[in-house]
Amino acid sequence: MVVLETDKKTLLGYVGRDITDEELEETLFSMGFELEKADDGKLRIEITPERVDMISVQGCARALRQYLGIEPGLKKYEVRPSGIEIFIDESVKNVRPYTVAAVVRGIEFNDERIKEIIWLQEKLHDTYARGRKQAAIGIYPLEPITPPIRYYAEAPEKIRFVPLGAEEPMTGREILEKHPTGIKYAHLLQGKEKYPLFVDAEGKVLSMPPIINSRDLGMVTEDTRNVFVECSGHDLKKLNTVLNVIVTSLADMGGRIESVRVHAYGQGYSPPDLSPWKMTLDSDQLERWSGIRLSAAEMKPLLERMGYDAEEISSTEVEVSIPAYRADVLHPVDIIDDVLRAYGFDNIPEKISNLMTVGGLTKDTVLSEDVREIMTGMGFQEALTLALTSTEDQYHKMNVEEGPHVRLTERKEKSINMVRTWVLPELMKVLQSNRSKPFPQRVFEVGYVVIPDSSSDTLAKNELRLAAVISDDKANYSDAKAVLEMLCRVMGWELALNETGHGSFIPGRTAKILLNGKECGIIGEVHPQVLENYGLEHPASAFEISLQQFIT
Amino acid sequence: MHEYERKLLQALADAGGKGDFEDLAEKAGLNTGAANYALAMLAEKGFIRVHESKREEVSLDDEGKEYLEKGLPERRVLDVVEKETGVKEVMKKVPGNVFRIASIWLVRLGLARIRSGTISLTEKGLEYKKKKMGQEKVLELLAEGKTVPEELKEDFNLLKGRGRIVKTREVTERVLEITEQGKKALSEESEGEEIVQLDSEAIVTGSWRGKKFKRYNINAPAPREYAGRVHPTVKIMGLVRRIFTEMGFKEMRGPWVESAFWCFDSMFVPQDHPAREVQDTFYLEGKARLPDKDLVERVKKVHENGYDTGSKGYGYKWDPELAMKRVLRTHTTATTFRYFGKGIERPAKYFSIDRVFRNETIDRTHLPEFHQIEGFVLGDVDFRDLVGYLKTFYRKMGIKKIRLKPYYNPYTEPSTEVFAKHPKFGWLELGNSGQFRPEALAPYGITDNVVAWGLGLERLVMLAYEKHSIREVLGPACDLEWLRTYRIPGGYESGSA
Repeated sequence: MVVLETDKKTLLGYVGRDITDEELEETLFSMGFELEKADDGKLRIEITPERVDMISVQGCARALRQYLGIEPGLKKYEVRPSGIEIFIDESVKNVRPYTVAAVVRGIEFNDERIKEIIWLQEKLHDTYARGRKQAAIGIYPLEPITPPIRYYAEAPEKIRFVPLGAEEPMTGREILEKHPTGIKYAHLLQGKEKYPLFVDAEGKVLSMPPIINSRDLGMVTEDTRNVFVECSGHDLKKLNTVLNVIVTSLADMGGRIESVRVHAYGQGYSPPDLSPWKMTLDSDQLERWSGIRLSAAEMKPLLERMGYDAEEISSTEVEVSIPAYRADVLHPVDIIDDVLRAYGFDNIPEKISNLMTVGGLTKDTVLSEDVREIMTGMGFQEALTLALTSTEDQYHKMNVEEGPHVRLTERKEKSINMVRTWVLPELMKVLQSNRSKPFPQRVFEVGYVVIPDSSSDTLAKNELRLAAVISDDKANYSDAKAVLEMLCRVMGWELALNETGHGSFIPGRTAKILLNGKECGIIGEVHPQVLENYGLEHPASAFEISLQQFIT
Repeated sequence: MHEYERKLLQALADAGGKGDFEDLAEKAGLNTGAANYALAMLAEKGFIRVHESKREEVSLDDEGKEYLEKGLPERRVLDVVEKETGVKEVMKKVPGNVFRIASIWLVRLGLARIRSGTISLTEKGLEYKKKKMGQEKVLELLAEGKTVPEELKEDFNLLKGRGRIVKTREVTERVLEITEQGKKALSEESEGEEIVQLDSEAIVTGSWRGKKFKRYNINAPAPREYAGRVHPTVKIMGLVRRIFTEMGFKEMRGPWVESAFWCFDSMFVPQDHPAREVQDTFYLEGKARLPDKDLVERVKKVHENGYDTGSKGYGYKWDPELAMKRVLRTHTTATTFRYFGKGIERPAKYFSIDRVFRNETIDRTHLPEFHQIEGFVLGDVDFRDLVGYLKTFYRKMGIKKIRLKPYYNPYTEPSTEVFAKHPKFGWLELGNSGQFRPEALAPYGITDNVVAWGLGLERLVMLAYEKHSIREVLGPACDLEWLRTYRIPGGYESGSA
C-alpha cells in the first residue's frame, strides 16, 4: 500500500473541478481507494500497489478526471524524437543490463513540483522497484548533458565524481563505503567487479545507478525547464512501466515528451513507448464472471471512465485499449474488475446460488469441543494463548533442556524466537498475568503446538494438545490426577501413569501419561523453582497431553 | 426469634432466669458480636430486663508489678536490718531510692525508728520480719485478680495512695433477667424449633417434621461463584462455525508451518510481491518439499506466461528455490490451495477458522498472530454470490450493513475489502475477499468460478464484547476476571431459525 500525500488544492488543480470532501471520499471509495483526512489539512490517499500509475498527484487526478467523466477514455500523449542516443556497452550486461530513457521539455518547475517529482521517484523506488532493485530512476536537467550518452560498467576505483550531497570527488568504492545513500544501497552492487555508470560525450558522469546521481549533472532546480529521465534495471517491461509513469506525470505538469534512441547489444528501441495495447472483452465473459450482463454499448462508457478506450466490435464485444502505464492488466478479468468498479460494487445485487453441499466439522474441532465441555464442567477456565514464544519461556523458565523446535530467525519482535512445542508454559504466563485474581485458578487450553518432523513436506507438523493447570493454596499432584482420570473415564481413554523425572515438576510427584498404551504427555506438581521463575506464589499441579492419536 | 437470640435466652432460662451477661454469652457459645446483637434484640422485644451496674476494676500498675517481684521497699530494708543497724550498713545492701521510700513507711507503720544514722526495729518491726504486712497481702491478691476483703481495706487504700502501684478502671456489669414474656416466647420457640441448615440427618430421621424453617434474609450477600467457561474468542469461533455449517460448509485445517509454494506461488502471488518479503513474513530455516512435479510445472507456467488461461502471466522466470522456502503461513488461503491440490469436488463449500502469522512487533494493539475466517464456494457462482455469502454471514453475526470496496489481491479479481457499519464504531474494515483469478485456479484444473474470503476473527470478537485491543481477546495477558464473567454476546441471527 502506498499512501499518496497531497492537499486538496493541488489535487483539485489537476482534476480541474471543485469537489466536496464527501464526494471525493465517496468517489475514491468506489474506485477502490481510501481517503484519510489528516488534521494538518493534508489528504492521504491509500493507493493499492497494482495502480503504480496513480501514486503521483498527477496520476491520481488523471484517474479521477476519467472516473468522474471530466475527461473519459485513454489519455493520449504525443511523443516526438529528441535525437538523443544512449549506447549500452557489453560491460554492463552482467551488472545491470538495461536502461530506458526519455526527455520532457517545457516544465515550469517550482519548489512544490520538485518535491512532487522526487516523492514520486522515491515511492516508485520503494514499492514497484523493490528498493531500487528492479528499477533505479535518474532525473537530470537536460542542458548540461552533451549527448550521446554511454551506459557501461567501470571498476569502482576508476569511477570518480562528486555525488549529490557531497563536496569532494569520491571513487565508486568510497561512495558505497562512506556516502549515506551509498551505504544504504551498497547491497545492490555487492560482489560486482564493475559498477554501472552513465557518462555523457564529454566524459562527465551523470550517475552511478542504482546508487546516486552526480552533483554537477544530476540536480533539478527551479531554473530547470527540460529534463532527461533515465531508468535502469534488468527487465525492460518493468523499466518501461516506470518510465511511462514518470513521463506521463511530467507531461501532466505541462511537459512535452520526447523519445531517446537506445542501442543495446545489437538491438535498438526508442522509449518511451506510450502506445496502448489491446484486449477483447465480450458480454458473455463479463456475465459468466460477475453475473452482470451488459452490451458492448453499455460497457464502453464504463471502460472509458476507467481510463481505457473501447471500440464496439459487435453488439456484445468491445476491443479495449490499455494504457501503457498500467502494469496490472494481465487477463480480461482485470478489465472486468474495472468495469465493475465503474458500474459500482454497491449496485451489484446479492445472490446465493442453489449449491447443495453437506456441511461438517473436522475431527480436530469435534474432539476439541468434547474436551472443552468436560474441562469447563470441572470448573476450568479456558485460555487462548499465543503460538509464538521464546526459548526462555518454553524451556529455561520451565527448568528443562531445549528440545527440537521451529526457530524464528528473522523476526521484528525480539521477545519471541520460536513456535511453541508445548502449551503449559503459556498457561504459566496466564497465571503470571492474573496473580491478583481470586483463587483457586483452574485454567486449560486446547490448542496446537508445532513439532519438527522431517517426514512432513514442510518439515514440521501441528499437534493438538490439551494442557491444564490448577493453582491454589494446596494444589497437589492428586488434584491434577483426579481431573485427568475423570477426563479419560468419560472420553473412554485407557490411562496409565509411569513415574518419571522432569525438570518442570517435583521429583517423586511426576509421571508420564500413557493413553491407550501410547506415551503422550506429562503430569505432576509444578516445581517451586518453576513457580518462582514465573513469579507465582501458589503451588500448582498440571498436565499436558497430545490429542493427536485420536484425530489421525 | 434469631438463632442467637434463642441461644442467649435459653442460657438465661437454664441459669435460673437471672445471670451475668458475659457468663451467659459464654454458655450460649456466642462471640461478643453475636451476643451483643442478641442482647439488644431480646431487650427490645421485652423478653429480658437488663440491670446495669458499674464497678471499679483494680489491677497492678508498673511499680506494683515491680514490687510484687522484688518486694516492697520496706520489706527489702526489713530483711537486711537486725534490732539496730547502721544506715550506712543498710545502704550497702539496698539502693538509695529504695531506702528513702522504705524509711518513710517503716516509721509511718511504727516498725522502726531512725536516729543518728541508726535504724532500730520496734517490737512490731521484729514481729513483721517473719510475717506478711497488710499491704503485701493486698499486692498479692490484686496480682491474682482477687477481691480485697474488708479487713484489708485500710491497707488497700494506703497502697492505692502510693503512686503507680495500682490502677483502677470502671466496668459496666450487665445482669440479665428473663421476663414473663421472654419465658413464654422461649417455650413457644422450643415447641417448634427452627431449622437453620436442613441436613441429611433431619431428613432421614424425619426430625424436621413439625419444625419451622428459619427465614433467611434473601438479599444477604452470597459468596461469589465462578463457572469454568470457554474463552470468549472461542465462543465467537463456535458461532462462526455454526453459521457456516448451517449453510452447508465443510471445515478445513492446515499446518501453521507452510512452504512459500502453498502460501504464495500456488495461488499466483508473484515471487517478488512485497507481502512475501521478510518484513511481512516469518521465514524459517530449511527447505520444504514441493508437491508433485506436474502441478509445480503448471504453477511455473502460469506465473511465467499465463499457462492456458489467456493471461500474459508475470513474464519472469519462476524460481522453484523461492517456492521451497519455509514460512509461517500469512493467511489461511494456503490451506484452501492445499485442498485444491488434493483434488476438490464440485460444487464445494469450505471454511476454516485458523491461526495466521505476520512478522510484526508486539504493542498494545498488535500481535504477530491472529485468526482468519477463510471460506470459498466453488461451482456455478459469480461475483453476486460473493456479495450474497458475505452479507448473509455478517447478517447472521448481527451486522446488518456491510459494504464492499474494490481492492487488490494478486490472486483474486475482483477483490473487495469488506466494511461493516457498527452502531458505535462507524465503518470498520473486517476482511478481504474476491473471486480467484483463472491463473490461480488453472493449475488445479478448476474451471468453475470460485468466490472466497479471508475475514478477521478478532475484529468480530472485539466488536461483540466492545473491546479495543486484540490483546484483550487473545494471548496470555487476558484478564481472568473477564474470562470468567464476560457476558454472552447477543444480537445474532444464527439460532433464530
